[in-house]
Amino acid sequence: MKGSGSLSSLRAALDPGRYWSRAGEQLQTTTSGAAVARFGQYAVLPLLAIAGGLGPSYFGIRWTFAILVIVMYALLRSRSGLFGMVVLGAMLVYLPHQMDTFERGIMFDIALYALLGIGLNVVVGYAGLLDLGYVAFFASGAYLYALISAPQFGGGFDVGTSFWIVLPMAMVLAALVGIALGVPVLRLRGDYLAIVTLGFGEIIRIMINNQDGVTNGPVGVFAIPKPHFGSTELSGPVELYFVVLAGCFVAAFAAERIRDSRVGRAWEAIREDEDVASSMGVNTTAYKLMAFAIGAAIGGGGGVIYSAKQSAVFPSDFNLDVSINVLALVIIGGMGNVRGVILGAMLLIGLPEVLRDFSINIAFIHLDNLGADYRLVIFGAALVAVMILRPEGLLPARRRQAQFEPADVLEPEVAT
Amino acid sequence: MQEWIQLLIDGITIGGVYAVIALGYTLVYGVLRMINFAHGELFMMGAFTGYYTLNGFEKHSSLNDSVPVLTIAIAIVLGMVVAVTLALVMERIAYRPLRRAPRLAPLISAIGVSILLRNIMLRATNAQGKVYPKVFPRTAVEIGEIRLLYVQIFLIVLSFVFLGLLYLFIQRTKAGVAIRAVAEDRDTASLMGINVDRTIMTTFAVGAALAGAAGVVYGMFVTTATSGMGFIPGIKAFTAAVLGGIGSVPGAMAGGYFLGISEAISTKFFGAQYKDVVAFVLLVAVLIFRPWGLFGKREDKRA
Amino acid sequence: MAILSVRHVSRAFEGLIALNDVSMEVEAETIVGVIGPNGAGKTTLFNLLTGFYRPTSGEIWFEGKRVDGLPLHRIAAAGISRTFQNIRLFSNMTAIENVLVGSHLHLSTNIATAILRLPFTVKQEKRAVQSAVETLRFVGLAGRENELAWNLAYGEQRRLEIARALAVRPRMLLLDEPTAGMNPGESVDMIRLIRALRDDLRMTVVLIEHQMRVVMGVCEYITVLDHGEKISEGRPEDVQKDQRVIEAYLGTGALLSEGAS
Ligand SMILES: Nc1ncnc2c1ncn2[C@@H]1O[C@H](COP(=O)(O)OP(=O)(O)O)[C@@H](O)[C@H]1O
Ligand SMILES: [Mg+2]
Repeated sequence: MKGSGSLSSLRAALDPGRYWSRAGEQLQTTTSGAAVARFGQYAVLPLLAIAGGLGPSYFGIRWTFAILVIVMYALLRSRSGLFGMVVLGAMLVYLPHQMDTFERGIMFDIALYALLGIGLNVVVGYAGLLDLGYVAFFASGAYLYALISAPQFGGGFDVGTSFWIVLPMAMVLAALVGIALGVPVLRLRGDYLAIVTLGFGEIIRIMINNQDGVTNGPVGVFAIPKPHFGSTELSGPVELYFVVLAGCFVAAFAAERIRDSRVGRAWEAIREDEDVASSMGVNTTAYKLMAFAIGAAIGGGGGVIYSAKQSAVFPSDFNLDVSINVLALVIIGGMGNVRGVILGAMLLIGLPEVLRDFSINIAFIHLDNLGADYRLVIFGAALVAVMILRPEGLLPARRRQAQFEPADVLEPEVAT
Repeated sequence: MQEWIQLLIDGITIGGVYAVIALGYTLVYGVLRMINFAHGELFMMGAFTGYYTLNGFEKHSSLNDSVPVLTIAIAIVLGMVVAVTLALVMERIAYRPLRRAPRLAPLISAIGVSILLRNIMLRATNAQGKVYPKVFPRTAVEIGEIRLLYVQIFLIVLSFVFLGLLYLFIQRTKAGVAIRAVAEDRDTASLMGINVDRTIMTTFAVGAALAGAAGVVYGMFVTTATSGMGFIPGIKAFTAAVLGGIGSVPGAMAGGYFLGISEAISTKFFGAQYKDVVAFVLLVAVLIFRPWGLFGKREDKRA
Repeated sequence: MAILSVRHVSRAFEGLIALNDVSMEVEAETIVGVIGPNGAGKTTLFNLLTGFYRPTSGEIWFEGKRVDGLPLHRIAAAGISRTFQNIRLFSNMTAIENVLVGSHLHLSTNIATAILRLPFTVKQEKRAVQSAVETLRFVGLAGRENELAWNLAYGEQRRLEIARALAVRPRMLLLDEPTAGMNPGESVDMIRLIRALRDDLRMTVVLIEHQMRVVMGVCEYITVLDHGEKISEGRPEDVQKDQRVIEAYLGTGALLSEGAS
């Protein structure tokens, strides 16, 4: 075949703009046209953000929004990912120093949810397993750290170092919980799996609530110590924010590399047609368990950090809403795609905080505290809207970098 | 012995509610192969409609006292109307566009609808539960140690009535035959001249009517309506539908009673706080060991 | 020795007996045709051979190993691969990715090596890509590597299914109506491809086929099914004359018109 033909189809396959609009697709016949189209599409989001940022509420929100704008710009703009990552990294490291405690708390939440989203995305986005009980793993991690380190349970570990020991332990524990839950249910069809995992999430919460002897029940666990790094105590939201941030980068890196390997390909095949994947030699149960375990491990790690940040955990922290928040940000942001997850975390976790006391007064509609009170209303509507209008989410998964470069064909080895 | 009878009666009471709601899951699953995650919220909306209706009568008239039968009937009918309307709207907006989409899409959409309805009601009620006016005397028939509230008797009888009516509807009416035909094979049914869209809407409507009515009666039974009240019964009813073999109408009925009774009995052994766990464990066990249901026939998994 | 041995296999669906006590043997490195009117049970036979269904009774042996009842992926590992009558590609994956999924069993990357991306892993992946490109070229899809499967033309999709099945490196390949929906020109290409599978790759090929021209042209041995029963088998020219086969096809006209054309 003509090399140029395959090259241009390769480009087309790699171009995220392709998914964005028909207009964009047509304009892409010329390079400048494409640029214009892309700019038009991407400009909308920052503008929206700026408009929102100039809105009525003011506790330093502009910083949060500045990040949102710049990061989204970087994320959307960069093709190689490198530019975006550098800018993103710089912003994420620099901005918290400019913030007050409240805003740092928001940054922590965004990062934590992004971390959870990266984990759940492995399960839902990569392997196509709808898990509505993700909170179970988050809870296992949080309670493991709480129970091991809190003084009310003896605090058997050396408080200064226990965090770094418990973190991997919790990840392993959560992975094991994931496998234990997964073994019986992974033979189930997708929608059954959703309900059963939801059930597991609830069971875990009910158990924590009722096993007073072990977990202190609804009263919760208090005085959970902060981690130390060397001799510094990581006590404030900024320090722990950096811990989560590091976690996000490691998790994202690992997740994307796995996705781009034989393992990720097997997941994608399972998502497309499980029986056929199996018929091509993929041990579907094992691969689904793998996805479950990885997702669970990340969730468990997130739980440990959460526990350390909060200093106290209660069963009510681990209700269905957590699972739904994480699922919503994965789906709305863009399934199967870490950038989408980050965008989703910013929009779904950050935006409601920014709009916490934002009010709408149009004609006879008066909605106060939009971000605080109506976030779940909006999540619900957004899930429906995204499924109907943009099933791939706001930032759809880019076609994987093709493993195949046209140059490979030029010197074929003799098939053996 | 009397204790067991009491447990049985309590089980039948709640089981009737599960059975009636479960029919909605099973019917919709039958025609669309989709779990209508928001079905429990229709039940919740029914309960709120019941509250607003009865409360309206309470405030502005004395009809609740003079002719409670009438006000209750009106409340039930309105509960059904509201639930049906909502169901038709959600079918049209949230599900129909996704009929040919990948399997997870309608499910996620349904989860969205469920979250949406629950939180709209949470806001609309300022997170306060609504307490039903006393329409039924909270008195009980007592036989030995067995206690049976009047409203409980009403609930039990009514669920039998609804189940019977639904059975007749499915078996005897043209619309019922159409539903069964679409459930069997949508494309063939369409070729035979059945209006599939219409039949799917009928299915949603029938399921919603049952859920709405169940909501009103259940609301009277537990005397409060809250935005979250549809969630657990919804999951339970789904469990009931699965127990009975999802897609099967008699199965859903039997599954509802089976689950209600199992739950009631389990409280004796594990305490009430583990009731929900029992239901989930049953659900998981059935899905794993008998995915075609306790009463259904085995089917080949792969087409 | 026979590579495949089907022994008294039956399969029922809720009363309907789709296959009834069918036995057959397939010699290694032959091209065998399975024919019969619609609903005869041909696809059901393939589903049994590849583990999509379990036989209600009977046994299936492949290369001296019993394979009925094994999970799908173990049957693939045993050396059987297939295509589907109603094409079942991973439609949102590219052509080359489809083929790479087929080579799953021959790669070793796991989670750890994927994260570390060791030189060994990279090299292995490169080789897999190389051979996927080769496979695609073999079936005539050179240059279409990065096309999404659902964007391919119908005939290309059929060939991609074959490429994916070949990537499993099976010793026996099952093709379910490989020329369905193809024009005569494409059918001729397909016949050529099937021959090459056996001649160049030394594979055993079993194919379900309706076009008698293809069957007679490429198969060395034929099994005829009707209403779930094996009614005849033998060399093409003999089967064609078999009275029971003619009766089974009577009224369908397939044997006469297509056989003659
Ligand atoms: N999963 C199934 N459930 C019920 N009946 C089936 C199933 N698969 C095949 N059948 C029936 O078995 C018979 C044989 O089908 P099949 O093997 O597909 O025939 P063909 O020879 O045309 O490939 C048909 O009557 C078909 O309806
Ligand atoms: Mg067939």
